[in-house]
Amino acid sequence: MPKTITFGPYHSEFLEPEIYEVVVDGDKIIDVKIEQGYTHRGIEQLASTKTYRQGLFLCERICGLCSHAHSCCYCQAVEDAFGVEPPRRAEYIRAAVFEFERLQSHHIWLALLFRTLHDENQFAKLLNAREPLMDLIELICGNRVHYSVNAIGGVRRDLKPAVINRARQLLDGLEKLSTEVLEAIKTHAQRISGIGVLPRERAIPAGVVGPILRASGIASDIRKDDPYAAYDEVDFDVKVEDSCDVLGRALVRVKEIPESVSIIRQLFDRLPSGELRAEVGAPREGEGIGRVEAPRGELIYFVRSNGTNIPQRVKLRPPTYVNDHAVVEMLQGEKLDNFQLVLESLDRCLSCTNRVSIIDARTGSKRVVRVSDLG
Amino acid sequence: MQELAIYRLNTGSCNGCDIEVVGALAERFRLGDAGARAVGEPENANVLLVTGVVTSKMKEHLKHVYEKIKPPKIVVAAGSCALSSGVFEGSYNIPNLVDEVISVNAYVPGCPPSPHAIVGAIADVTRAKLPSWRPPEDFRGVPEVDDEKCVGCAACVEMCPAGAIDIVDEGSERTVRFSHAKCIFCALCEEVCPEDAIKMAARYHIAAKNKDEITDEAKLELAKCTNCGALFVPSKQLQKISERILEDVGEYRGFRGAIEKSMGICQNCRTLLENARAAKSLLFSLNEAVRDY
Repeated sequence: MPKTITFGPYHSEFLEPEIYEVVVDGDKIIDVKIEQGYTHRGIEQLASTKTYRQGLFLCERICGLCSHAHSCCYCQAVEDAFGVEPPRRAEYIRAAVFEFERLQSHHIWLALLFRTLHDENQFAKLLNAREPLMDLIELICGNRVHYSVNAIGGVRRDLKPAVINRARQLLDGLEKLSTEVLEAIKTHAQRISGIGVLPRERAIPAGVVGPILRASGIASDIRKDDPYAAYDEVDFDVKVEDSCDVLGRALVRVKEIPESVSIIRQLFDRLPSGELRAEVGAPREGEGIGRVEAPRGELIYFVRSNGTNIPQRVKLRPPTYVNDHAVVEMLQGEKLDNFQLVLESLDRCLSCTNRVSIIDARTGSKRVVRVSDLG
Repeated sequence: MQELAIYRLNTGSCNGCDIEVVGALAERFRLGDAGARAVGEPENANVLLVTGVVTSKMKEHLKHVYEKIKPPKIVVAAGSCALSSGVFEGSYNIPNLVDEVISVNAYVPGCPPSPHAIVGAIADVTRAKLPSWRPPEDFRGVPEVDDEKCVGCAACVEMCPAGAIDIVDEGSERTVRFSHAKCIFCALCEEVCPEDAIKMAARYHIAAKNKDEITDEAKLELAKCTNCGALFVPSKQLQKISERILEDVGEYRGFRGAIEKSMGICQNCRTLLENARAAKSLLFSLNEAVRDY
C-alpha cells in the first residue's frame, strides 16, 4: 500500500525550505512531488523598480553561494544592452573571483555531502580548510559572501600584488587537499555509486545543467562553449564522468577544484594592467543577454531597456530551477534511504529558484504564471 | 548560564546567512567555547536563529517553529533581511518583518553577518570570553559618516539600493541617518559620496538588542533663503558648491559675490521674475568671462 511521506518545508538536512512529498511503497520511492515558493521574494518585479546600479546589488543577493555569478551575469546582460565593453583587467578580475567562488561553493557542497554520509571527520576537515579561502575572499572583496566586486562596465576593486602572493600559497594547499578529498570520496564509493541515476540520454530532455549534466557524460560548460570574462584566454579541461550517479556528481566537483586552481594561476600570470571600469554613458533602448557557468550550472539573464535608468524587464533562468525538477526522475524507483543523498547530490540552492504558481482552490490544480496570462 | 542549543530557520533568505551559520561550525570560531551548539530540530533548541525575509508562505511556519522552542526561547534575527527585509523591501511576497511575527531578543546586522559576528553575538549572551577578531582593512562593514565632511547633498540617499539612508529636516537642522539594520553593506554610498565622507568601518561586532539604536548620523545646519527666509538646503552644501565653482573656473572668481547671492535663494524664490532676470544676467556675464579668455 503506497503512502506519502512529507519532508519539509524545514528539515534538519535542508539548508533552505521546500516541501518534498515522497510517495513510497515499502522502502521504494514511487513518485516525488515538489512544492516550492517558500523563499519567493519577487525579485524580477523588484528589479524593474530599481536603477541599473541598484539592481546589481539586488541580483547579487538572489543567492549567497552564486552571488558573483548573478552579479556578473547581470552586468554582462546590461553591458550587452548598452554596448559597453569592460576593460581586460576587469574581465580577468571577474574571472578570478568567479573561480574563487566556485572553489568555496564546491568545498561547502563537499562538506555537506560528507555530513549526509555521516562522515563527520571529513565534514569538519573541509569546513576548516574552507576558512583560509574565505579569509582570502574577504581580503579581496571586503565580504565573505556577497562580493560586490562587479560594476556595470567593469569592477570596483583591484587585485593587489600582496593579495595575489597570498592567494598563490593558498592555491597550492587547496590542490593538495583535493587529492585527499578524492581519496575520501572513494572510501564512500560503494554507498553512493549507482544511486540517483540520470542516464546520458535522459539528461538533456530533463534539462539539467552544470555538474549534473557533466556527471551524465555530457561535456557542457559555458566557460568553454560561450566564453565570457577572460575564459577565452585560459586553458582548462571540462571534467566529465559517465557514471550518471551521485558518485559521478561528487567526482566532477572534486576534479573541478584543481582546474579552478589552474585557471586562477593562469589569470594571475597574465593579469593585464589598465583601467578597471569603462565609461557606461546614458542608457539607451535595447535588449541584452548574459550567460555564465555558475558553480551549479548555466545561468542566463535577460535585460530589456526602454532608455530610462530603470530596466523595463529583468528575467533570469538559474541552474537549480532546472536541476531541482530532475530529482523526480532520479528518485523514482530509488530506495527511501537514498533520498537525502540524491537530493544533496544536486547541490540545490533554492533561493534563486522559487517562482509564483497559482493554485486553483476548487480543484487543487497548480500552474505557473506565464507573462501572457497577465495580459 | 545553561548551554545554548541553536536552531536555524530560513524563512526566505538568499542562503548567505545560512552558509555563514554552517561556517560558524568551523573550529576557529570556537562555538563550543562560546557556550553553544547547533541542533537540527526545533524541539531540542532553546535559541531560534532566523535568517532571511519572512515570505508569505513561511510566516505560519515561523510561528509554529517558535512555539516548539524550549525556554528561555531566545530569538536572534540575523542578517539585514531578517532585521528589515534589506534590499527586498517593497516586495509583494513579504508581508511582515520577523519581529512583527514573533518577539526578537537580539539583532545581528550584516549582509550576511560573518561567523565572527554571529559567534560574537552568542558570546554576548553567554558572557563567554572569546578573542576579538579583527577584519582586514578593506572590509565592508557598517557605513560611518564623517560629520565634518558630510554636506547633506543626499547623493547616498538617492543611490542606496535598500533605502537605508534617510534625510530628515527638523527645525533648522538636517539629519542624514544611516540605518545599519537596513544596510546591505554594498558600499555604493561610499562610492558615490562626492565629499568622501562615508567610510565602511572595519569591525565585525555590531549586534544589538534594539535595532533602532544601530544607526549613524550626521547633523547639518540648514540655510535660510535670503529672499523669503525659508529653510532650504544645508549651508555647508551651498558653501561647498560655490567653492567648487570658483576653484574649477578661475574666470568666475570676480563674480564671487553675485554667485553666492544667487545660490542663497530657495527654489521657490528662484522662479520670481526679478530673481530669474538677475540669474539670467549673471549667467550671461559668466559666459562672457569665459569667452574673453
